[in-house]
Amino acid sequence: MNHKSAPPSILDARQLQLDLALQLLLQAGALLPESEPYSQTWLQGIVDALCDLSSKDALTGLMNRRSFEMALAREVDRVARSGEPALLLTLDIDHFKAVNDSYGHPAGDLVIKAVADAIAQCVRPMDTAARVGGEEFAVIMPNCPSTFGATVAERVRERVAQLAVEVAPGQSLAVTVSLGGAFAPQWVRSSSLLWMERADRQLYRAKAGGRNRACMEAQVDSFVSAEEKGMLFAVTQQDSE
Amino acid sequence: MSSATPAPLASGAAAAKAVRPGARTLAVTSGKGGVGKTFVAANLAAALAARGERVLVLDADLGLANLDVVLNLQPKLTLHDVFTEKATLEQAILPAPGGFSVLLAGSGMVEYSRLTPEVRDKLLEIVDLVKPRFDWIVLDTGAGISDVVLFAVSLATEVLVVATPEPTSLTDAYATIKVLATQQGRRQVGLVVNQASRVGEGKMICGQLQQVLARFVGPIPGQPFKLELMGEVRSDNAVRQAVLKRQLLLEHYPGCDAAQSIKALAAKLLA
Repeated sequence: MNHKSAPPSILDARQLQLDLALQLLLQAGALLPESEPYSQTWLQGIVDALCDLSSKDALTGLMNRRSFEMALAREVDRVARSGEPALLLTLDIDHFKAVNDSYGHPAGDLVIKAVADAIAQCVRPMDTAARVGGEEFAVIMPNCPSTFGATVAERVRERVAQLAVEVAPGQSLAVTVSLGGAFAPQWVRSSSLLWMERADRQLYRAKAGGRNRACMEAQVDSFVSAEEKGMLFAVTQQDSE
Repeated sequence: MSSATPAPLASGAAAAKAVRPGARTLAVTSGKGGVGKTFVAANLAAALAARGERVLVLDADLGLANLDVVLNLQPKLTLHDVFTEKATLEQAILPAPGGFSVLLAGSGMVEYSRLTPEVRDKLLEIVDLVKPRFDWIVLDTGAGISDVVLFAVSLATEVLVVATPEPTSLTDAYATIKVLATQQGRRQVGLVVNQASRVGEGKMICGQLQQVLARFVGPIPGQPFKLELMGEVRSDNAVRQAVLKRQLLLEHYPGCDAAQSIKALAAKLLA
């Protein structure tokens, strides 16, 4: 027998203890792969479904904090290379504690879910909308032109303000969010923590300014226009002629 | 500075001047790289030291530190060792030729070229610790307008932007000054025109920048933006010689035109 030419068998898939994993996936309503159980494609499908499950927030279906942080770090690196403008929005439901206190936690959960759905409806497929804390959300918007930043934030704020969340039969709640926004530093190596901190600072401003509003960080404008250049070199060029 | 009483060079003179509240902090930055930022920072430090000032040059170009190269130093301890607590600040502050002190970044700092809250806090802490012990903290920043550079500049109360008459250098210097004015709310920036080809070129460039700034950055009511020409260093073969030999211009070619210009810059800062 020629051992060298035999394909290396690393594991026997049937030896894996997958009961808990399958149970979790079924309970979460995930679609299980249809291929032959314990085949490579089937296993890959199970792993993919588990990844999907562990990257999402159970209540809202948005990305969870962990996958949000990964996406944010990736975006900081991407922007540093591409120089494309990318916007980070952080959102917080206004007076959420009062909802929980007055109507109970199930009502609070309904509000969180409704806000999450509203956010999800306002963003593009390429954007990452995440629930990063109890009543805190964040949206990463790659390739978002700087002039659109305030418009996008305002759209989300408006959409949420239009909600009437039915927390009990015949009982609807109005809800508002405050938003903070900051663009990633372009062309430079930075950290996602600082980016988050800058957006949070704007969120704090929005809260302090009376809530149900969006505050955006003024962009660092290092772009030098053709007009500026023309004026800058007017004399030097004449000089050398 | 009010009283620039020349004091002996030795560090023993420190006690006599201890009444000062703390060092003046000066960032030397440029926008474009390779315009002589580190050259200006190092020789200005020597010129200030020659006038009795206690000067520390902090290599704030964390990613591509080259103050050690300019000064021909082979540091055993650097800012990196202070960050990682392998050395105390006292151990890492080294004497440099020219009678001033340096805190070098060292090549191990590449991992710090990314501004994180941790790097920011450490730099803040270090600047605060050294301030009471010197008359001047000169921050030699990196090129570009990255957040590390902007942060390093923000640590200083005074800024010198170094530019050469080259269009790319002028554009980057202009962009830097614009960002400093709009983002950091600075109302006063000093300009050093390096490698000027003739007398008066610095004044002309400064006037030109001033005009564009007045038009596009716009004055805050009651707070006009002031770009002041602090120095004009003309192209000088002695500078090339000093740079190639990794020597301080002020030590090895003290009589040359460029050295006189650097001395004049120091005098102007102290005036």
